[in-house]
Order: sequence, then C-alpha cells, then structure tokens
Amino acid sequence: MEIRGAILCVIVFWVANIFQKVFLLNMSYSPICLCTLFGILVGKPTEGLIMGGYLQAIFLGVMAIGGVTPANKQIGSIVPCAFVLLGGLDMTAGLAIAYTVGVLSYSIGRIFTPIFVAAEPYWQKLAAEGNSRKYSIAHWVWFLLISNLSGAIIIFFSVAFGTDAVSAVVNGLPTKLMTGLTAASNCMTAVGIAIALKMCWQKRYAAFFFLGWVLYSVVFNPAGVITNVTTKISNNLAELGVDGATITAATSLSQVLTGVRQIYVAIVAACIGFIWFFVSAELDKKVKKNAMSEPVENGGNFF
Amino acid sequence: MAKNNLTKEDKKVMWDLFFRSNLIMASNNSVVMGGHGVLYTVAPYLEEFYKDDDEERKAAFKRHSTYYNTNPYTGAIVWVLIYILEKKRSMDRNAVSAEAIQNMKIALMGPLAAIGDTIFQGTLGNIIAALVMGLAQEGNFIAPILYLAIFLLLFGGGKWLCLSLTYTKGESFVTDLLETDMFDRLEDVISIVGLIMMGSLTASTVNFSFNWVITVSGVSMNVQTALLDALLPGVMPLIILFTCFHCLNKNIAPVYIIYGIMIVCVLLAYIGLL
Repeated sequence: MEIRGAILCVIVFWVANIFQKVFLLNMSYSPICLCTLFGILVGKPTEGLIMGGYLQAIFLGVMAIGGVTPANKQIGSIVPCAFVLLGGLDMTAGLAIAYTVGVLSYSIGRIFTPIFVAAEPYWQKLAAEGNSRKYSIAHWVWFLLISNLSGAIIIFFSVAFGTDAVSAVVNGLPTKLMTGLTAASNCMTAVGIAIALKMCWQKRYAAFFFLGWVLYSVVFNPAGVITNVTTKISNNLAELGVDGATITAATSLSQVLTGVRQIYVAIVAACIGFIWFFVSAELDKKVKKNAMSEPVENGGNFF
Repeated sequence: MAKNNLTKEDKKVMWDLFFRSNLIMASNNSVVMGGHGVLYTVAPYLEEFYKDDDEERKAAFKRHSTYYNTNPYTGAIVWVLIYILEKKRSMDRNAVSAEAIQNMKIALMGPLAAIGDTIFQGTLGNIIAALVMGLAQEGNFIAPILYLAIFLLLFGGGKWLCLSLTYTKGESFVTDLLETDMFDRLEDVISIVGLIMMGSLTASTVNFSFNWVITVSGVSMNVQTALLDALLPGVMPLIILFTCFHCLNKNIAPVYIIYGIMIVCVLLAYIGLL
C-alpha cells in the first residue's frame, strides 16, 4: 500500500514538473495544484485542496532566487500530503513536518550534484559537434528521464519507508564527507565562470574585473552581512530545528541583499561604460587634431 | 525602421523561442546552471545561420554553452538579442565580433536576474499565491484553476512582452547601430561592462568559507570571520576562480578541475579546516 502510494507520488511529481516546464502550467511550484492533483488521483480531492492551501501558507515566503531554494517546495508539500491522505496522519502533524521535509530534501539533493556534474564533459563534447538536432534530442531525453530523478528517489523512499528512516540514513552518512561535498558544490560554479571568462578576457581590461569584484564584496557590503555567513547560519539553523519563519527571514534577507547589490554594481558599470564611450570619442578627435596641426611658431615681435 | 507589421516567419521565430526557452532550467547543472538550456533555445537558428561554415558553427555552439544563470522570464530579452546578433554576424563576419556577443550575454545576466526575480517570483508570485490561498483553505475548487490561469497570464504574458518588445525594437536598433561607426567603441564598452559584471558574479555565486579556529596561547580566533572577512571579504572566491583560470590556461580539461575541487574540499573537511 505504501509502495503503491509512493509510486503514485512519484508519478504526480514527475508529470507536474514536465507540465510546468513545457507548457508553463505551474502545477509543480504551488502546493495548491500539486496536492489537489494528488488528492483527485487518490480519491480525496477536497482534503487535498485544503491541505494544499495550508501548505501554500507555510511556503509563501520561500522563493527561488537564482535557482537555489532553501527548502524544496515540491517535495516538502507532496510528502506530507501523502502521509495525511494515504497514511491517515493528522493534518496539523502533517503541516508541522512540511518545512523539515523540504530542508531535508535539499540536503539530500546535494548528494546527487557530483553525479550530475560528471555528465558535463559529455555535454561539452556534444555541443562541440555542432549538430542542433542531436543536441535537442539529448536535452529532451535528459529533461524527461534524468532531471527529476533525484526528487523522485527522495519522494519514493520518504513515502514508502517514512521520513524517520530517510533522516536516519542521512545522519548515518559521514558528516565530513557531506560537508566537503556541500562546500565543493558551492564553489563548482567557479569552473563554469572560469570557462566563460577565458573567452572574453582581455589583458588591458583586466582591472575592470577586479573593480567589479571589489564593488560587490567590499564597497556594497552592508556592515557585517556577508552572504557566505548568512547561508551557513540558515543551514545550521535548519539542522538545529529552528522554526521555518526565522530561517525564511534569514535566507530571504541574504538573497535580497544579493540581488540588490548586483543592481548597484550594474548601475556603476553602466556609468563607467558611458564615460568610456564619450571620453574615447574625444580622445580620438584630439589625437587626430594633434596629428594634423601645424608646427608652433616661436619668436616674433610684440606688436 | 521600426517593424510594425511582423511577418509570418517573425511570429514563428518568436513562438519557437518562447516555447524552447521554457526548458532552460530543465537540465540544471552546478557547473553551467542554465547553459545547456540556452544552447537548446538557439541551436536550430545557429545551424541555419551558419549552415555553410562548419568552423564558425562549432565555435558558435561552444560559445553559447557556457555558464548562464538568469531569470527565465526577463531572460527572454537575451535570447532574442542572441538571435539578432548571430544573424548579423552570419551575414558579415566583421560587423559583430564573437567577444561582443559573449560579453553582451554576460553583462545582461546579473541585472536581469535581479530585476526579474524581484518582480516575477518575489512580488507577483506571492500576490497570486496569497490571493488563491484563502479560497483553497475553504475547499473551493476554483482555486487551482484560478491559480493556473493567472500564472499563465501574468508570467507567460510578461515573458512574451519582453520577447516581442526586444524583437520589434531590437532589430532596428542593432541595424542602425551597425551602420554608424560607433560600433567599435561600443564593443569596447560592452566588454568592459561584461568584465565588471563577471567580477561581481564570482563574488556572489561562489561561496567558500573556512570553519577553522586557531588557538594561539589561549586566544581562539576564527580564521574566516576574524582574519579573511575583516580584511578583505570575498577573497576566497577570487582565489578559487583564478586557480581554475590558471588550470584552464595550462590546458587541463574542465572535468579534472571539477573532480580536483571535490577531492580537495573533502580532504579539507577531513583535516578539519572546513
């Protein structure tokens, strides 16, 4: 019975994600639609709808900025829904574990990062061939089959064997390995940025790169609030079991600051661009004028 | 030269870009984030523009599969600009240089992400969710349908607005620009702005902090917060980036760098520095 429920959850999750990405029918990012769909398939639509409404209230503050969320809204809403509708758990108890399940799934999802990253050289090789049809097919295959796999595995094991079993497994993993892998996935983007930088690096404009970095890290850095520290704080708070509202406040503060600082740096960059544009025009004119001017006459009478 | 009447081919291109770019975050990867999706969005057009020139096509494919992470709704501006600029480049190689396209992509990445996230996911998303929440908690079945409809209207409509505005105004803008002789200076400006934005991008997305406490004669000091962040915040992302850059210059394949980072981080965690 639990296995059947788990398979049903996985199917709902998978189909909702596909619909969301292909048709922009946002079934998967809102607990209301996801839980209603699950409820209809199980045979308890109204309860699914009500549960979805309350779950939406919990996850209201959690938004995905830059593709990285502190808690996974989809897994965090469908797993408690399965427990309540299929397992007969009380609705308030189900709501209580929603946020923890979301954060737990986020930390489990990090295990899958090295596996996904290992496929990167194949993508690069495929891109270098220059065949659009082959690339499109590969992209669709990855999207349909592999991209939802990590979430599906987490949902399957959580619903079939209970979240306690899953968190026991996660706690059983060596902590130092997990810390190392988490830190590695945080700085993996440096490789991607380095590849992009190599294509547009110019030695004479090198100083502008450091200017951008200084502006972001040092100049527009509100006193004492640094994104690294706040991310670490929110992760530690989640592990300690602090309630969802505080964690949301802490992470949304750090995320808002990240976004706003980028805009400030963009404004400064635009100003520097304008200055360069007009000043270089004038310098060009002056160089041309100096090249064409006649030699200066020295001497001569006063009158 | 404003395009007031769009031909049938134009509309087809716009719809095609719209639907293909829905899949941007479908192959999310820690290294390139949405990079594969960007190439998927523009791949058929790259093939069409450069169908005679093999070398250039492969270079174009490589160019557009690098790191890319922006808001998928306001990012529509960038996909249309890529289409327009690559079209201009395919007609005249010297008009638009490859670095200009790359820099334009990167320069627009940060601001569009910040603006788009605040407007779309932050404000509009929360408004829609809060609107529908009350209905759902009462058990009214119109709630999910209303949610889906409003979401499609606002988010899909917003994306279409960005796309069509850029398409109609962008082509004429770029054509006028290429006819003047300002474009060389504009390429310099774009590369400068792109480099500044990349500098801020490394500081914002690469997160690395030590967890290392030194005890010197009874006084314990956390190296990250007391030493590194107090003097020069964000110095570790810069060091990591330039190590990767140096390795790439020595022609080490990226996959070895990725595994190297993982091994080094795990080792540091085992020693106790992380």
